[in-house]
Amino acid sequence: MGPNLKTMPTKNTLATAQMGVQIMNNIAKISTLKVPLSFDAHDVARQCSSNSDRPDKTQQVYMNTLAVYAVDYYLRLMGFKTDWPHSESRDPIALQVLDVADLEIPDIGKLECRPVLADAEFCELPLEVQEDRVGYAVVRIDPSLKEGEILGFTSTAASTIALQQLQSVDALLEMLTELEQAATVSELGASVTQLGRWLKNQVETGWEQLETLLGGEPQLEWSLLGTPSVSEIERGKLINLDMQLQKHPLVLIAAITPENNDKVGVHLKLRTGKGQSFLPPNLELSLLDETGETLQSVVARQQDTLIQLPRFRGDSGEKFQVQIHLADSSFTEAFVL
Amino acid sequence: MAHQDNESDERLNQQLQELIQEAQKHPASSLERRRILSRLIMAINDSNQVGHPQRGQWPPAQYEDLYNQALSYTWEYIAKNIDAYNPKFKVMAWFNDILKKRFIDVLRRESRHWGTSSMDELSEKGYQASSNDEESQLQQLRHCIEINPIYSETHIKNRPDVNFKAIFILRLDGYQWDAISEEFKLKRTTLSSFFQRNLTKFSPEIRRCLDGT
Repeated sequence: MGPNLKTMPTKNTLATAQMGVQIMNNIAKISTLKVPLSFDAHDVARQCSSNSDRPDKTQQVYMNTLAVYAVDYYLRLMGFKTDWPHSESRDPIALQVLDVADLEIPDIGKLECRPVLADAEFCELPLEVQEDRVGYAVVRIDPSLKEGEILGFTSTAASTIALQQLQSVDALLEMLTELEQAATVSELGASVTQLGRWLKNQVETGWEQLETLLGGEPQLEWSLLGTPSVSEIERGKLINLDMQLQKHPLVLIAAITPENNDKVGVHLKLRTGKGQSFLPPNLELSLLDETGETLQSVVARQQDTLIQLPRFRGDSGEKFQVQIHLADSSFTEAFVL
Repeated sequence: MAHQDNESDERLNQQLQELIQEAQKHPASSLERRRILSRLIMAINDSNQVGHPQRGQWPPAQYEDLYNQALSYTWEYIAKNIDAYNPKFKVMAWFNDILKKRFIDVLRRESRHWGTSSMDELSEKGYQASSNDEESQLQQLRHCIEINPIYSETHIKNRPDVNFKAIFILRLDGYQWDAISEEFKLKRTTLSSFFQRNLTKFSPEIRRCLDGT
């Protein structure tokens, strides 16, 4: 089948999904993006640069401001929440003594937005912006100052960046979206389960002894799981996964063991709740890293009563998430060791 | 010729509609929607079909600013209202209709603006002596740094000469970190992180002094 979108079938959902992929592949990758700079942009640039008596400073601040404007405008179009008014690049005192063009993105960090002129091949990063940044976007400002072209970004600080080495605007969207999702997860997880504190007998409410959760059920499975070591602390949390009007009571079990060098051994399991014979088939238990990337997962087969992730070791302070997934419903719990 | 134009119009419209329908399938903050929206911006910019409302009624330089501002607002509207697109209308007709309305909005507000400056004008303007107003603001900033002894008492360990006030004044006078490092025989990073840390700390105090409170 040719790349012509017209010939693609659109009737069934599978074909539509494929078409989506096709669209993404057919249209040139976004490498750079142009933003018009008009009254709004120049108003801010004039306001920020008007306080200096040094021509070089005035020009530097004016150009920096246009670069931040372009990136801020684009990111807001893309639905990011930015906070330019509270960035250092809008602080009249900081502007007098620092060469900064930062854009504050709440919960994500500062993105530095550096201007370059039409014929530039490199972008210089002043010392004061080489720290405390999630990345560096570079904006080519047209000599008319009526257009800014976002050329790309890099997440590594250096005193000089070769423009040819920049990552695409697409990659910038990808990085910021990932950071944004990670921030949302940690916000939701205001109740992050602090496993490290379990070792000091500080266990969050909601995490109970298994006997409490499972009552007087025969505990045949325990023998299959091996005898827990003396120092192991094991707790379970009752989870109700809603699916197609049916409730599936499940018990998420976390067992931790202190190990040498401040490390903690973690064993995660999922079993049927009280009164349930089997786990729903295709129920998935996954281990995700801090950013939401799946590291490992295990899926329940027909007639499984318990599934478990391979035991792993982590450092104190390390973060991870556990996700339980069945068809359209999912449950995520955030942990810190 | 006219027939060919119609055909390429039709192809463009189909391509843009597919992008919009694809974007509508993904939630607002998803990477997929952001990517597709960026592609839509590129495709429309490159289409040669973006209209120019009221062109010819304004001097070209002024028109460019008015037009660019209207274009900015149009994209803001489109990005927020992509789910409201009705495929009954051609995408470019929808876009150009919004652009026309935004252009009128800009005209209504235009009087408050100074317009934009070019690179050449900016360099010229930079070399003009600054107004009294700006000078007095700068003098006041210097004054605020001079009068509070805390700024000269805050210094790098064992180097009372390398204090916040001294670095602030040097930076205000336009000295680069290389030169300051040379002057004090200290590493640039040591100086810059000492300075930035204290600037964050003292900023509210300096601001209070500038506001005269």
